Amino acid sequence: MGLCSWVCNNHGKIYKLVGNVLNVAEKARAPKALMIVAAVAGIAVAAWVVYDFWRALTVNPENPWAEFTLSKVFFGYRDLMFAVGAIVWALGTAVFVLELAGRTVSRRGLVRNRMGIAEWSVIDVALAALSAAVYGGLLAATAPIVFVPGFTWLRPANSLAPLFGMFFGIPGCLGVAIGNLIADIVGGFFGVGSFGGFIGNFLIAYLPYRFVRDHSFSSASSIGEFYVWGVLAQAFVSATYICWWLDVAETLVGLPLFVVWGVIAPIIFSNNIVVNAVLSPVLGRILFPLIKGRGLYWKDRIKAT
Amino acid sequence: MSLGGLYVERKTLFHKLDPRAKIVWALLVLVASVTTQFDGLKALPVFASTLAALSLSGLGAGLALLIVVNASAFLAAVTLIWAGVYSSQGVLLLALGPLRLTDVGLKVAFGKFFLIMNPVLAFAALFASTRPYHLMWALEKLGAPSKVALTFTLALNLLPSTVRAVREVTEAQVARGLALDRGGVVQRLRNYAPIIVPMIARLLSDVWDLSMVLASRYAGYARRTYVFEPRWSVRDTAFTLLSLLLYGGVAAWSLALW
Repeated sequence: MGLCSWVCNNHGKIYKLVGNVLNVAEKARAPKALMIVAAVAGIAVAAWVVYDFWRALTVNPENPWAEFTLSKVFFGYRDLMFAVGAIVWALGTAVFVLELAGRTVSRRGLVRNRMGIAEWSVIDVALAALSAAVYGGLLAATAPIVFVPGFTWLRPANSLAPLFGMFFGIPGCLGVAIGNLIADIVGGFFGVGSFGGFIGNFLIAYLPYRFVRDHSFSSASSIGEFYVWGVLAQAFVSATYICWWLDVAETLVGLPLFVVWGVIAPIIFSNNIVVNAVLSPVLGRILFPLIKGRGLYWKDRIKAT
Repeated sequence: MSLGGLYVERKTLFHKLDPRAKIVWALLVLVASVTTQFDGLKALPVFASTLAALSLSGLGAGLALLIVVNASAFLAAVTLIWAGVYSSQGVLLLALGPLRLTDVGLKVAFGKFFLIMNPVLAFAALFASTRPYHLMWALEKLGAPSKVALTFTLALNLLPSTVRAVREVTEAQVARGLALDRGGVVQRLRNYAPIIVPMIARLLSDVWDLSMVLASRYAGYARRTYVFEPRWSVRDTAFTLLSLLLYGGVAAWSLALW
């Protein structure tokens, strides 16, 4: 009886409280669902890539590429991939030029990003140079991990590319591109194809920087969005961007098309998926407070200026 | 943090050349290697010229030999791939199970090998014989934005000390019990976190030091001026003309017979 009268007397407050709770739950549920779906999708794709290559190697040990599903998709639909790659290349290159020139595409058209090269301070230069040196140094100094026995192309250093973009902004993105170029030069892979690798690596860092809203790796939406943009999207974009360039420059690069789409594209895609799905979130969770505490997080630096 | 970089102090002919002449030379090596990629025999003069450049820059051909020996696994992989692609063309030299090595396949394999090796040796000679200060000056003269040229030069100079730091951190963690080759793919990847995190912590300290050094030199605030600017001399003109003649000739020889 007492409870009933209390409810009757305070129905307005209760309605408001329930409404607030539901509102919060509604807001909280969407990112959590997104996190679960995106993270599961990212991890599932990574696990499937490893399993499928192992299966391909078991079925055809002499030429696993003929059985590897990713090779079949990239090389089997080469015309489609070429068309998609052309669009990705045009958009990616335009974004690269615009961002370095200090402009970014938004719903309001082209706006200032406040991180163009002309606006860089000494901290931006130092961040870009050190990101490049650390990324290039780790690429050069760490051995690739055995993917399945006999095949070693997983590079742990690649896990830093999206993190440098998310934490340091455009200087971090350019640092990744320069680091990859330097690793190519000293590692013996420098050539016409390095141009594609330069902007391709910029995009690996740029996509999570631009589209992941919370870079802390401490919330549901942060991790979920990272798996969408920093794992799945960047792997596809970098593979199609680099391989489209290698395809177009076939005469200069000299790689046959089955190597470009049947071997290199699956290697780039699987490396970026597996390494970034497994290692980047762990590193991001540890490193974000350190970087923010040192005052080097790009959003804080932009606010300060 | 060391900014020693890849530069090696010597007094050689190559060190005295204008950096722009050396950059043009390295790019000509790249172009000649691209044009000779289907015939390793025609790529040989280009390879010989890069060895000569290493000798002239005081590094010695021994370094080139070391790089080539290190790249021998790559040569073997390249030979296997291209022997397979060209297995039905030319004279059969070797049949080993599914591997059919023909003279055409072997020429292409060596051409592809030199396509990678020649530019690496050329850039090694360029970076080892050019002061970072002059490299940055040359990049700016060739049209690169000042801050990008500064970033690239800084990164290139920081690379050797970074590689050393990665090795030190790895050795320290291995001494503490880290086993990089233990576990499955996921575990092996996660094993690298104790190496990457200290490297980033180190980077975070270095950023402020480097920023202060750059700020004290007024870098990045206005267009940089240089006290010691290299001067283009007759020697540079002669070197560039000789390079054009050699690599142009090799390219013409290759393209004419394609």
